[in-house]
Amino acid sequence: MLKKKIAILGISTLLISIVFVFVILNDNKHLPSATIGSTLDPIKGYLVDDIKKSKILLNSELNNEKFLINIFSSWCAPCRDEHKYLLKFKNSNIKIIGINYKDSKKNMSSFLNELGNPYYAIVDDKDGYQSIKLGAFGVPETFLIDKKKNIVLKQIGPIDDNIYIKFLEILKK
Amino acid sequence: MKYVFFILVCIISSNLYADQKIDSKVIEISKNLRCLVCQGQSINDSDSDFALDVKELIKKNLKEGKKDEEIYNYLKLKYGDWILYKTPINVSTIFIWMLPIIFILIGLRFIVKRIRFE
Repeated sequence: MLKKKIAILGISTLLISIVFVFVILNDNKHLPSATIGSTLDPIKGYLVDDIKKSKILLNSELNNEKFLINIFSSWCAPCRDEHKYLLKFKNSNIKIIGINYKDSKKNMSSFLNELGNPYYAIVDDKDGYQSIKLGAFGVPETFLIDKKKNIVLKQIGPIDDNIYIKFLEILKK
Repeated sequence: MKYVFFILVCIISSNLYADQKIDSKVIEISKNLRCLVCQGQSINDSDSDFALDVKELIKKNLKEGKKDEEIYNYLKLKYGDWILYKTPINVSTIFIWMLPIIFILIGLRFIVKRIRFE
Protein backbone atom coordinates (compact mmCIF):
# COMPACT_ATOMS: atom_id res chain seq x y z
CA MET A 1 0.00 0.00 0.00
CA LEU A 2 2.74 2.40 1.04
CA LYS A 3 4.92 1.32 -1.89
CA LYS A 4 2.08 1.97 -4.28
CA LYS A 5 1.59 5.44 -2.83
CA ILE A 6 5.28 6.27 -3.13
CA ALA A 7 5.26 5.03 -6.71
CA ILE A 8 2.27 7.25 -7.56
CA LEU A 9 3.92 10.22 -5.89
CA GLY A 10 7.18 9.59 -7.77
CA ILE A 11 5.51 9.21 -11.15
CA SER A 12 3.35 12.31 -10.73
CA THR A 13 6.38 14.38 -9.63
CA LEU A 14 8.27 13.17 -12.68
CA LEU A 15 5.35 13.98 -14.99
CA ILE A 16 4.92 17.49 -13.56
CA SER A 17 8.64 18.24 -13.89
CA ILE A 18 8.65 16.97 -17.49
CA VAL A 19 5.74 19.30 -18.29
CA PHE A 20 7.54 22.25 -16.66
CA VAL A 21 10.81 21.59 -18.51
CA PHE A 22 8.89 21.25 -21.77
CA VAL A 23 7.08 24.53 -21.25
CA ILE A 24 10.31 26.36 -20.40
CA LEU A 25 12.16 24.92 -23.40
CA ASN A 26 9.34 25.83 -25.77
CA ASP A 27 9.23 29.38 -24.48
CA ASN A 28 12.62 30.06 -26.03
CA LYS A 29 12.87 33.83 -25.96
CA HIS A 30 10.43 35.54 -23.73
CA LEU A 31 10.20 38.96 -25.30
CA PRO A 32 6.61 40.10 -25.04
CA SER A 33 4.95 42.02 -27.84
CA ALA A 34 2.43 43.99 -25.84
CA THR A 35 1.96 46.68 -28.48
CA ILE A 36 0.81 44.26 -31.19
CA GLY A 37 -2.84 44.99 -31.90
CA SER A 38 -2.66 48.47 -30.42
CA THR A 39 -3.08 51.67 -32.40
CA LEU A 40 0.01 53.59 -33.37
CA ASP A 41 0.79 56.53 -31.09
CA PRO A 42 1.33 59.91 -32.76
CA ILE A 43 4.86 60.15 -34.19
CA LYS A 44 6.44 63.30 -35.48
CA GLY A 45 9.16 63.40 -38.09
CA TYR A 46 10.14 64.87 -41.42
CA LEU A 47 9.69 63.62 -44.96
CA VAL A 48 12.91 62.62 -46.66
CA ASP A 49 12.21 64.70 -49.79
CA ASP A 50 11.47 67.80 -47.71
CA ILE A 51 14.55 70.02 -47.88
CA LYS A 52 13.44 72.16 -44.93
CA LYS A 53 13.00 69.01 -42.80
CA SER A 54 10.04 70.49 -41.03
CA LYS A 55 8.50 68.20 -38.45
CA ILE A 56 5.00 66.99 -39.19
CA LEU A 57 2.61 64.46 -37.72
CA LEU A 58 3.33 61.34 -39.77
CA ASN A 59 0.19 59.46 -38.73
CA SER A 60 -2.02 61.66 -40.89
CA GLU A 61 0.51 61.58 -43.73
CA LEU A 62 0.03 57.87 -44.42
CA ASN A 63 -3.63 57.26 -45.05
CA ASN A 64 -5.26 54.05 -46.10
CA GLU A 65 -2.07 52.16 -46.78
CA LYS A 66 0.08 49.63 -45.02
CA PHE A 67 3.54 50.77 -44.09
CA LEU A 68 6.60 49.83 -42.09
CA ILE A 69 8.38 51.44 -39.19
CA ASN A 70 12.04 50.55 -38.86
CA ILE A 71 14.27 51.47 -35.93
CA PHE A 72 17.84 51.93 -37.14
CA SER A 73 21.13 53.50 -36.24
CA SER A 74 24.41 54.12 -38.03
CA TRP A 75 26.34 52.43 -35.22
CA CYS A 76 24.25 49.27 -35.36
CA ALA A 77 25.93 46.46 -37.31
CA PRO A 78 22.85 44.23 -37.87
CA CYS A 79 21.13 47.29 -39.40
CA ARG A 80 23.63 47.11 -42.25
CA ASP A 81 22.71 43.47 -42.88
CA GLU A 82 19.00 44.16 -43.14
CA HIS A 83 19.39 47.32 -45.23
CA LYS A 84 19.09 45.52 -48.57
CA TYR A 85 15.66 44.21 -47.55
CA LEU A 86 14.51 47.71 -46.68
CA LEU A 87 15.59 48.87 -50.14
CA LYS A 88 13.64 45.96 -51.65
CA PHE A 89 10.55 47.11 -49.75
CA LYS A 90 11.07 50.62 -51.09
CA ASN A 91 11.31 49.28 -54.63
CA SER A 92 7.97 47.53 -54.14
CA ASN A 93 6.50 50.96 -53.29
CA ILE A 94 6.17 50.30 -49.59
CA LYS A 95 6.74 53.34 -47.44
CA ILE A 96 9.04 53.01 -44.46
CA ILE A 97 9.30 55.38 -41.55
CA GLY A 98 12.81 55.25 -40.13
CA ILE A 99 13.30 55.89 -36.44
CA ASN A 100 16.88 57.01 -35.99
CA TYR A 101 17.80 55.67 -32.56
CA LYS A 102 20.48 57.50 -30.52
CA ASP A 103 22.42 58.71 -33.52
CA SER A 104 23.90 61.94 -34.80
CA LYS A 105 22.54 63.54 -37.97
CA LYS A 106 25.99 63.52 -39.56
CA ASN A 107 26.55 59.79 -39.01
CA MET A 108 23.03 59.00 -40.16
CA SER A 109 23.40 60.84 -43.46
CA SER A 110 26.75 59.21 -44.24
CA PHE A 111 25.17 55.82 -43.39
CA LEU A 112 22.30 56.49 -45.80
CA ASN A 113 24.59 57.93 -48.48
CA GLU A 114 26.68 54.81 -48.37
CA LEU A 115 23.91 52.20 -48.39
CA GLY A 116 21.02 54.07 -50.02
CA ASN A 117 17.99 55.63 -48.41
CA PRO A 118 14.96 53.33 -48.13
CA TYR A 119 12.97 55.69 -45.93
CA TYR A 120 9.95 57.81 -46.73
CA ALA A 121 10.20 59.78 -43.51
CA ILE A 122 12.64 59.96 -40.64
CA VAL A 123 11.99 60.42 -36.92
CA ASP A 124 14.76 61.59 -34.62
CA ASP A 125 14.98 59.53 -31.47
CA LYS A 126 17.91 60.82 -29.48
CA ASP A 127 16.48 59.81 -26.09
CA GLY A 128 14.74 56.60 -27.12
CA TYR A 129 11.21 57.71 -26.19
CA GLN A 130 9.85 57.03 -29.67
CA SER A 131 11.12 53.47 -29.45
CA ILE A 132 9.51 53.00 -26.03
CA LYS A 133 6.24 54.29 -27.49
CA LEU A 134 6.35 51.39 -29.92
CA GLY A 135 7.32 48.92 -27.21
CA ALA A 136 10.75 48.34 -28.74
CA PHE A 137 13.84 46.95 -27.03
CA GLY A 138 16.59 48.33 -29.25
CA VAL A 139 17.92 48.32 -32.79
CA PRO A 140 17.05 47.02 -35.31
CA GLU A 141 13.35 46.45 -34.99
CA THR A 142 10.64 46.55 -37.64
CA PHE A 143 6.89 47.02 -37.27
CA LEU A 144 4.12 46.51 -39.80
CA ILE A 145 1.24 48.97 -39.56
CA ASP A 146 -2.08 48.17 -41.25
CA LYS A 147 -4.56 50.52 -42.91
CA LYS A 148 -6.32 51.19 -39.61
CA LYS A 149 -2.99 52.29 -38.06
CA ASN A 150 -2.75 49.19 -35.88
CA ILE A 151 0.54 47.45 -35.23
CA VAL A 152 0.07 43.96 -36.67
CA LEU A 153 3.54 42.45 -36.92
CA LYS A 154 6.87 43.04 -35.28
CA GLN A 155 10.37 41.80 -35.92
CA ILE A 156 12.98 42.06 -33.18
CA GLY A 157 16.43 41.99 -34.72
CA PRO A 158 17.49 42.13 -38.36
CA ILE A 159 15.26 41.07 -41.26
CA ASP A 160 16.32 37.94 -43.15
CA ASP A 161 14.91 36.09 -46.18
CA ASN A 162 12.13 34.33 -44.26
CA ILE A 163 11.04 37.43 -42.40
CA TYR A 164 11.14 39.49 -45.60
CA ILE A 165 8.72 37.02 -47.22
CA LYS A 166 6.50 36.97 -44.12
CA PHE A 167 6.26 40.77 -44.12
CA LEU A 168 5.70 40.94 -47.87
CA GLU A 169 2.81 38.45 -47.69
CA ILE A 170 0.93 40.58 -45.19
CA LEU A 171 1.79 43.83 -46.98
CA LYS A 172 0.43 42.54 -50.29
CA LYS A 173 -2.78 41.15 -48.79
CA MET B 1 23.36 91.86 -0.78
CA LYS B 2 23.41 89.46 2.15
CA TYR B 3 19.71 88.73 1.74
CA VAL B 4 20.03 88.16 -2.00
CA PHE B 5 22.82 85.70 -1.35
CA PHE B 6 20.76 83.96 1.31
CA ILE B 7 17.75 83.62 -0.98
CA LEU B 8 19.95 82.33 -3.79
CA VAL B 9 21.42 79.65 -1.54
CA CYS B 10 17.91 78.69 -0.46
CA ILE B 11 16.69 78.36 -4.06
CA ILE B 12 19.70 76.33 -5.17
CA SER B 13 19.56 73.97 -2.21
CA SER B 14 15.83 73.42 -2.57
CA ASN B 15 16.38 72.59 -6.25
CA LEU B 16 19.13 70.17 -5.34
CA TYR B 17 16.87 68.58 -2.76
CA ALA B 18 14.06 68.18 -5.29
CA ASP B 19 16.48 66.58 -7.77
CA GLN B 20 17.69 64.18 -5.11
CA LYS B 21 14.14 63.24 -4.27
CA ILE B 22 13.37 62.50 -7.92
CA ASP B 23 16.57 60.48 -8.30
CA SER B 24 15.75 58.27 -5.35
CA LYS B 25 12.23 57.85 -6.70
CA VAL B 26 13.64 56.79 -10.08
CA ILE B 27 15.72 54.13 -8.30
CA GLU B 28 12.69 52.97 -6.33
CA ILE B 29 10.56 52.56 -9.45
CA SER B 30 13.27 51.07 -11.64
CA LYS B 31 14.01 48.41 -9.01
CA ASN B 32 10.50 47.08 -9.59
CA LEU B 33 11.00 46.80 -13.35
CA ARG B 34 12.57 43.91 -15.20
CA CYS B 35 15.19 44.75 -17.79
CA LEU B 36 13.80 42.94 -20.81
CA VAL B 37 16.98 42.76 -22.86
CA CYS B 38 19.25 41.67 -20.00
CA GLN B 39 17.06 39.22 -18.12
CA GLY B 40 17.90 38.55 -14.51
CA GLN B 41 18.61 42.22 -13.84
CA SER B 42 16.31 45.01 -12.88
CA ILE B 43 16.20 48.21 -14.89
CA ASN B 44 17.97 49.89 -11.98
CA ASP B 45 20.88 47.42 -12.08
CA SER B 46 21.33 47.53 -15.82
CA ASP B 47 23.28 49.93 -18.01
CA SER B 48 21.93 48.66 -21.32
CA ASP B 49 20.56 51.25 -23.73
CA PHE B 50 17.04 50.01 -23.09
CA ALA B 51 17.38 50.36 -19.31
CA LEU B 52 18.95 53.82 -19.58
CA ASP B 53 16.09 54.99 -21.82
CA VAL B 54 13.48 53.72 -19.41
CA LYS B 55 15.24 55.38 -16.46
CA GLU B 56 15.36 58.69 -18.32
CA LEU B 57 11.69 58.32 -19.21
CA ILE B 58 10.77 57.71 -15.56
CA LYS B 59 12.75 60.79 -14.53
CA LYS B 60 11.08 62.93 -17.16
CA ASN B 61 7.63 61.71 -16.15
CA LEU B 62 8.31 62.37 -12.46
CA LYS B 63 9.47 65.89 -13.25
CA GLU B 64 6.22 66.39 -15.14
CA GLY B 65 4.43 65.43 -11.93
CA LYS B 66 3.14 62.03 -13.00
CA LYS B 67 2.30 59.48 -10.32
CA ASP B 68 4.06 56.11 -9.88
CA GLU B 69 0.91 54.28 -10.96
CA GLU B 70 0.74 56.18 -14.23
CA ILE B 71 4.36 55.34 -15.04
CA TYR B 72 3.88 51.64 -14.23
CA ASN B 73 0.70 51.54 -16.28
CA TYR B 74 2.35 53.20 -19.28
CA LEU B 75 5.23 50.72 -19.28
CA LYS B 76 2.82 47.82 -18.75
CA LEU B 77 0.85 49.01 -21.77
CA LYS B 78 3.99 49.04 -23.91
CA TYR B 79 5.79 45.93 -22.62
CA GLY B 80 3.13 43.84 -20.88
CA ASP B 81 3.00 42.39 -17.36
CA TRP B 82 6.43 40.84 -17.89
CA ILE B 83 8.19 44.16 -17.22
CA LEU B 84 6.80 44.28 -13.67
CA TYR B 85 8.51 42.16 -11.03
CA LYS B 86 5.30 42.04 -9.03
CA THR B 87 3.05 39.63 -10.91
CA PRO B 88 -0.51 40.96 -11.05
CA ILE B 89 -3.36 38.62 -10.12
CA ASN B 90 -5.47 37.81 -13.17
CA VAL B 91 -6.84 34.79 -15.03
CA SER B 92 -3.51 33.76 -16.52
CA THR B 93 -1.53 34.16 -13.31
CA ILE B 94 -4.03 32.89 -10.73
CA PHE B 95 -2.48 29.38 -10.85
CA ILE B 96 0.94 30.75 -9.84
CA TRP B 97 -0.58 32.59 -6.90
CA MET B 98 -2.65 29.59 -5.81
CA LEU B 99 0.19 27.04 -6.09
CA PRO B 100 1.83 27.68 -2.70
CA ILE B 101 -1.56 27.53 -0.96
CA ILE B 102 -2.32 24.22 -2.69
CA PHE B 103 1.07 22.84 -1.63
CA ILE B 104 0.49 23.91 1.96
CA LEU B 105 -2.93 22.23 1.99
CA ILE B 106 -1.48 18.98 0.59
CA GLY B 107 1.31 19.11 3.18
CA LEU B 108 -1.15 19.73 5.99
CA ARG B 109 -3.17 16.73 4.91
CA PHE B 110 -0.07 14.55 5.11
CA ILE B 111 0.77 15.84 8.57
CA VAL B 112 -2.77 15.34 9.86
CA LYS B 113 -2.78 11.78 8.49
CA ARG B 114 0.55 11.03 10.13
CA ILE B 115 -0.60 12.33 13.50
CA ARG B 116 -3.78 10.27 13.35
CA PHE B 117 -1.79 7.18 12.31
CA GLU B 118 0.52 7.50 15.26
